[in-house]
Amino acid sequence: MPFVHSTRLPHVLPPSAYHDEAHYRLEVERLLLPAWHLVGSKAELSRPGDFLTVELLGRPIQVRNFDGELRALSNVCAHRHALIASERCGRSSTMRCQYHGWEYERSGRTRRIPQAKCFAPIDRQALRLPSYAIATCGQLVFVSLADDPAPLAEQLGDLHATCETRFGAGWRPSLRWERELAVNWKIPIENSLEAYHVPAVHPLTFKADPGEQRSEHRLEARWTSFTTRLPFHPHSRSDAVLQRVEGWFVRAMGATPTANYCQCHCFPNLLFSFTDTVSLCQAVIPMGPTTARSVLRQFGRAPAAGQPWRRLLGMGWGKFAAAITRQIQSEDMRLYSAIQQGLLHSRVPGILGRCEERIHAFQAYVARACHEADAARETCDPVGIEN
Amino acid sequence: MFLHQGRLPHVLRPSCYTSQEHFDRELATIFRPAWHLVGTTADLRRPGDFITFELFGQPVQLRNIDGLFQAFSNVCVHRHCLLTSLAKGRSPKIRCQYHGWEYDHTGRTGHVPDPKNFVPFDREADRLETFRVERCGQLLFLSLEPAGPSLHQWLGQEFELLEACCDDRWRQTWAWSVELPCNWKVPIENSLEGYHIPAVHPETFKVAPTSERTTHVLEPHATRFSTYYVPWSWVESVLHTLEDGVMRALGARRREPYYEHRHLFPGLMVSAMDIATFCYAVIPISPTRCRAEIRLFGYRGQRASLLAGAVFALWAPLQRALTRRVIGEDMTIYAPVQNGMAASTHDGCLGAIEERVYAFQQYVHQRCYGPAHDGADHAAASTTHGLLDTNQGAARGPIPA
Repeated sequence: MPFVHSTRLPHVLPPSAYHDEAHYRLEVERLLLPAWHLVGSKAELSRPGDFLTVELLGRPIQVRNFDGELRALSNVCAHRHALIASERCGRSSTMRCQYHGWEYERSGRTRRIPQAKCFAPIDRQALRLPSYAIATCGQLVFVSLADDPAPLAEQLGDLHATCETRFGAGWRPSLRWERELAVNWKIPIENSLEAYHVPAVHPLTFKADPGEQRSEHRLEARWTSFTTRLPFHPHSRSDAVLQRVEGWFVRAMGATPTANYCQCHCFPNLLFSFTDTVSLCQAVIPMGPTTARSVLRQFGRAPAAGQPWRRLLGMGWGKFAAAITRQIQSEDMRLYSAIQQGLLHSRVPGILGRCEERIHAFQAYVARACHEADAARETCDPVGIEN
Repeated sequence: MFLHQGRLPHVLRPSCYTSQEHFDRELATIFRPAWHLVGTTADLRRPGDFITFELFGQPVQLRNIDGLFQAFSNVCVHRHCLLTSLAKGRSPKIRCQYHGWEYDHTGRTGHVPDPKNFVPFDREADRLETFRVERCGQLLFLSLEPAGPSLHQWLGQEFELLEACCDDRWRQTWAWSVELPCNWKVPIENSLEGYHIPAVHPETFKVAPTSERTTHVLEPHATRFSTYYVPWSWVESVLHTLEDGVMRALGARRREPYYEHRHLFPGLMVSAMDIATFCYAVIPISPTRCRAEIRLFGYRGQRASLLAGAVFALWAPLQRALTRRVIGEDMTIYAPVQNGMAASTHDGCLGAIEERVYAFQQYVHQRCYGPAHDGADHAAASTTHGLLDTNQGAARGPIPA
């Protein structure tokens, strides 16, 4: 399958877009605040009282199971501003602040306040914790910071149905891998959007770039995808053996092997990878112009209850697949700081090849959103913006 | 004898050691137009050897290409990745670590994996920026300015003096690149006076050279200090005796002066001794950080005898140990000086013994803001013999009004 473009493409974003504070603020305002962000999976919040905490674009949030209902509330106490919970995840009978024990109910309203008469008259409406929109797709849990966000299905587009099945019943989490990265959030994302770096960065895992003939790119308005057949390196004997073993495993789990590999990028910051045995989602959450947090969740096939040997087999394969994913992620991470350093000092515009057309689509999307913001600002402010 | 009689003003305010605004001014007027010591031929002995460093925000890769030394931007023209993250190494080609793009010795792209992805190819536009590299003896200098004076013009008469103490008769015995937590002027000013010796080097040197033992030369772009030998500590006298024996074995001769310290503005300092040369180049990183490039050369002479080889092999580690000790002692004072600069409410002052610091500060002030009107006696300095004539000085780029 040939690539969509027939010539090289411009590196749409200038190097400053990867470290400049003003550009980052524009991205937060235009791309990131309106978007849905992957914060966890239902498995992490399966029982009443389960909670997880996450910081989204500078806002501490607690996602919590209130008697079977998932809610996203601010994790900052209305009393003296302490974080209500500091653990990344846990379980507690009530949403209770760790500092003075103020308790909150699912609407964000205060519940029990120790020595409440000290605070009379209490204005429960004013003390209410801000709450955020929450949505699920399969077992994935998303939160949006927008007041009135567009439906999650709109952001995921065609990927919504894929996620419903690939992260639905029959799939179980096998890996959660979180790293803080001292790089701009677009660097890990762009790195995932091309296989051109495989020979230099993954010489032992993926081994080879599948190349134009074995790749299919789709460039859509809100997402892009890359599909190929595994293994990446068609002449590697060890990979061929591994592929055959995986085929046996898939059949043993009662499915039909296809050997397809599909990698999707849902704008702005969600990445998915699908193989016959693995469903992977990765959110790269920006924390500043040159810091980001990458949270990767991998799911493996899990048979229905009452099939102990299949369950065991599924768990074993899940561990194996998790080890490979961790290895690949560490290989990629090794270069991130060199890329950030280069971008910090680069005086050239950069180039994108046809094989990197998914990066071009992403950069064009970022530039469009930020440019619209510029245009909007210019109409409000006739003096213009000083460089 | 010192050239000045009494105290001198501390020309630069403490903020000149801490503020970003002053730092940017120094980069633009002093450092951008200058040549910088960045390495030696000994660091890049074999073809394919490279070192990388950052010079005022520009990542640079300096390579030995079949015996020639060339410098390139260390940033790939493709996706802006650093070509290599190693501080030094050897590779047959300039190759980017990310996607394997290769470049030839002119900076043009060579092999590009799957080139059909990048049609139409523009080999002229997609090239690595290159920088001028010139050598003086074994020292390699780099300039970020594409045009401007050659290294020879830049150094003027200092070129021959410098070459004589690091040419092929010398061998590099120590190379150290170290980041210092202070403004670039702090280590330089510290090296320009012996006044701190009793407090900072009480065991190693014991006392500061007195006015009678001192010769100072102050020039528009360089200053010099020289002294003759007087054994003040047992370390010095033992070393001196040992040195005599070593020199006989290597075929070297005692010369006058015994010790000479030259400061070539802005950041290069050279200590020239009978059988050792010590180069100390300071490169600014930020208002409160700098990098020191330290190189020590030992005199090896041309005698190929077994004895000469053995003596050199034994003498070099001793020399290195002594140098490391002195630098280590100096380094303890850099952070306290920097912290003091950040908090000081005084202007500070300089003594006649620190007149080289004064001359250096005047140079910095002149470059950044024009001449300093401090009412001090300039007559003494202007009567000395010129190391650099005014024409060469003028070739150093415009002085801001």
